[in-house]
Amino acid sequence: MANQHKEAILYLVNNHHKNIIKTAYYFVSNMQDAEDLSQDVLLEILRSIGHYKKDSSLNTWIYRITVNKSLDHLRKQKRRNIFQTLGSFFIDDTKGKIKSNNEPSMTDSTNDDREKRKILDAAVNSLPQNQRIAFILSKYDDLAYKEISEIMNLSIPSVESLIHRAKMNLQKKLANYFSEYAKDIK
Amino acid sequence: MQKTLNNPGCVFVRDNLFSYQEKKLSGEKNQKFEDHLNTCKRCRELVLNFQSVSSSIDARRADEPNPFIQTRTIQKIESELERGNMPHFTFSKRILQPLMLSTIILTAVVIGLALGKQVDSEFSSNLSRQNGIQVMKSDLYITDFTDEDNAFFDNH
Ligand SMILES: [Zn+2]
Repeated sequence: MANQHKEAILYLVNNHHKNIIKTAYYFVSNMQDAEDLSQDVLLEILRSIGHYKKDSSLNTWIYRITVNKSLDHLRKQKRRNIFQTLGSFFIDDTKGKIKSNNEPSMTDSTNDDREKRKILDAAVNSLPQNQRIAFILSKYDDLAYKEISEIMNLSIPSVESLIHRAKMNLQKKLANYFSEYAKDIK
Repeated sequence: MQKTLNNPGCVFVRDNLFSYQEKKLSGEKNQKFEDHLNTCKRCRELVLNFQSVSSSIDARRADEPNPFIQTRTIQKIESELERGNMPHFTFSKRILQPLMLSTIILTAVVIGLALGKQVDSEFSSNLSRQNGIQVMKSDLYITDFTDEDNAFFDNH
């Protein structure tokens, strides 16, 4: 293998790999899947580096590929998505206790933690796609609106509006979920 | 029940869960929010539940990948690329232009030699036929990194 390739691989892995995994993880909610996805992302970057245009930073380009690969992955596994049941709760406003998929060996506090994550993941996953992307890049990746606007190819006000709407939707979904009397509010 | 939940105070709390948590409410609105919490048990529970669930954002952010993943990934990518999936560096303008230039120079040198002329022009003194081939070879490996990324390669 040419040395340039090895150097490019080392450079990408040392400088960008962890961020790629973490971003993918925020979208797919599973570390193993995120790690597998990160390898696809790196290969895609190495294969298409010739198409990369300097009008966006390498970082922006990498985020864009990572988000796209993660969304592809989610689409592919949608049917066997463990959050599907929960997701339909938020979409259909169907009420009911959340079934826990936890292993029996888990402690109560871990169960509680997993439960909270599931509730939040399901609510975030039920957001319209652009709201979800903007929200995750902002709240999980902690990126500035400007960076998000470059990654998503949108204006900064559009990104602000997406994040605002995402928050409005999320608090409504969560409030409905937590309200014992969700039926009465509808 | 409906009456309670449609109470303007309850609606205000429900509409401002994020703003309250992110401390983005104005002083007056923050006061209104907390005044309502003092009088409404259900909203107090809602706020606690909301904060508890949204704190799992921080929990997720704290999760770290497998520490050995980098080594495994480098191995996997190298083997993937060696199995014939080499990245093809596309012949973009930025690669084609220097490549064509080297070809033209090389051709000029070859023609010059073939005509039996003395090789003493500025061009050919710098660029022997071998050099021309070297230029072509290195041009094939031009990659499109940003300046910051190029700085990395320059140091190696
Ligand atoms: Zn209330």
